[in-house]
Amino acid sequence: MTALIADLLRKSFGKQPVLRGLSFRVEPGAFTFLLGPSGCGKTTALRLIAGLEEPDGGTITLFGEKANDPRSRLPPAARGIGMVFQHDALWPHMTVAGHLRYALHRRTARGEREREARRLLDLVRLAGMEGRLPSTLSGGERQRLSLARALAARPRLMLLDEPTRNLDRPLARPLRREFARVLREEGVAVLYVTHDHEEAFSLADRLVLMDEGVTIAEGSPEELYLRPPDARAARLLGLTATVHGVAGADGEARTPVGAFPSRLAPGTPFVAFFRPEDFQVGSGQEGEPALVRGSRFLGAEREIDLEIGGLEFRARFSPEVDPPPGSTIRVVARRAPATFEERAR
Amino acid sequence: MVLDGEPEIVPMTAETSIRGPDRIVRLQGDLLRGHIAVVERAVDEALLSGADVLLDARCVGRFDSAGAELLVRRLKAAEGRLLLMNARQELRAFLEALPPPEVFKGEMTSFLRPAVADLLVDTATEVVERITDKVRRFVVLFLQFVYFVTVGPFLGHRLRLDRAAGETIAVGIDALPIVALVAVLMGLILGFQSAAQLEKFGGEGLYIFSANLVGVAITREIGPILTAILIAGRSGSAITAEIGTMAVTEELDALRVMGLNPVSFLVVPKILSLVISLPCLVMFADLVGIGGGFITGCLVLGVPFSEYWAQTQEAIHLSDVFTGLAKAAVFGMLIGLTGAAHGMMVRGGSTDVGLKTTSAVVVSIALVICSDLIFTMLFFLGDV
Repeated sequence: MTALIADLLRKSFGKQPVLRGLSFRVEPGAFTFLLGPSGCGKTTALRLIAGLEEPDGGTITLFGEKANDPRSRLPPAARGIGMVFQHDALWPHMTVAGHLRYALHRRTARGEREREARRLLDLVRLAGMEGRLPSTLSGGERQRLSLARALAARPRLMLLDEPTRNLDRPLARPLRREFARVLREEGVAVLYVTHDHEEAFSLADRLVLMDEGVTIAEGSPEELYLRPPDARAARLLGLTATVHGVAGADGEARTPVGAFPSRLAPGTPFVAFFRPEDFQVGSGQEGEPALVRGSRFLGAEREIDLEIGGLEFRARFSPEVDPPPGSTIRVVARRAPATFEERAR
Repeated sequence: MVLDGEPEIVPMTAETSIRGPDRIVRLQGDLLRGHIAVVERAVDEALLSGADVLLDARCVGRFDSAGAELLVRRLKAAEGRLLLMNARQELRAFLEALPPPEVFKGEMTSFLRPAVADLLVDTATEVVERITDKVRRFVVLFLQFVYFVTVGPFLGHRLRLDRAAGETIAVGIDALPIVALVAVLMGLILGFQSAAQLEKFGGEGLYIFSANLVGVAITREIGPILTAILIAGRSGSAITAEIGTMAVTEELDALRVMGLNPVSFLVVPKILSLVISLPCLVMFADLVGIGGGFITGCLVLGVPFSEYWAQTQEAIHLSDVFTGLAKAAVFGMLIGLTGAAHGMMVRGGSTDVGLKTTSAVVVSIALVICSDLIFTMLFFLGDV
């Protein structure tokens, strides 16, 4: 049975619409990521699903049961969900053990609580810290306690709202892996909200791409990154290396950096959306001269701001490629664009 | 809306016709992600003619969010040259979430800029709505408090008296020094002021009656009001700040998700603590305030202690003291409710915590004084 079906969810705050018809599904045992820019309504969607806010329209079905039926609205605690918040939402005056005791209170028999608390503490590697207050824990430990507390309610669906947002990147990566390990061990369905592409690509089984309160695209991370359904999805996925072109008589998409098969009507002007890593430096006279606007050394690669035909874009090359700003380099695309967008003639 | 088990998808067709100066594009089929290109092509061709274009959605079947969203973006981009008409209710309800409403023709009203009068009406409506919302939240919280204190304990909602006791001790004991200081100063001031007025009517011989004025004023009005104002500033603001911070850091949401009601868990003990501690503090303020009057009367104005004490006993009735204590209990509840309601209204970040805290103090003090007037009128009319 599908863990969650969100169908045309709508929510406004005052006159400001936040969700305008968001639809997606979460399958049991799968990691589904809701990916979108900040302010697009991801957290609001999660709060509606958790029952912390009421939708203005649309339906939320959790494990086959409608959760927001006006006649029998399911309260948050009856929805079979756990939630890990952006802020860890720990109670400052309560010890690590106290948090778990409270969380276990409702769903676990009295005799089993101690054993279950120990199991959860082992699972999130907090054993030995039972008596400590949240203020004495590190950021990662606090989020792991937050996860253990959410798991104590034995949820069938876990909602995670950017749990690593307030952590440094070196701390966030291992913590994400740790979360994934724990959640896969527990076998719960996961809906994870993030604006971080790396986070979503590295952990998701399925991605739901959203913007301005609606679903833009759904699919596996590979599917969406390699073949985004349209230009908007491509932009949201960071495929923003854009080059102008015009379709040839045979429909071939001709761009300054190469020609590619397409379904465009002959003579149609278009913008081609490439991935930043789709380019290489042309050998000899091969490729289109591109003006170098600037560059950044990123360690394993170098990001260069280029301009072709008035369009600026960022491309990634090996770190040895280091042209000075103001110079030109010849670039060719080494694979077809992710998608095309037709332009007005 | 696309649901499981529905019939096959109907492809979209767009047929363009001319009506007067306008072009009409009739859509027929399902408005789904994959069909939007058909619509866009027809719209582009119609717009190229230079005419205004009416998009007739009468025969649009199902729709999905991506289809509708892309459609509305086109409507907005056309800047009024492209209008939607005959959209059925479900599609309209969905699109109405997307401002501006100019995309509708006929069924929707105005294409004009709002007049100044409309703006004023809008602003007034917004203010009224905001006040109504505050009052509604306050009343709901009051009813919840009554439920959790009276019926709740019999229906499995634990009344957290241990937490209430802890809070009472914290609120009461911590406030003792400041309440004592203000009360003694008020006693001293009232002593001097009453003596000055009494002297006009009969000279120094009437100084003894300052005991009456100080005693009654302190027990019936000054003690409860001053203590309530101090506690509103001290504990009411602390309640708003604490609950507001918990709202910002999502601790309240964590409680809800775990099935713990924040009102029962947090708010009820805090309000109970104020209902209990405020009368205790008022009793203390009464004693200290009368002591201040005694200092003025006996040590400064020279009234003998025994006479002053006897006069005070004669002037103050037990009903005066109980009136003050009953008022104090109500003030405590008002301060607690106002503080908690404002805390739970916090949205956004720490800035709103500060704003709501300030607002809570102001509203608490206003409510205390209004309710005091009501009490006074009731007691006066009832000749208590």
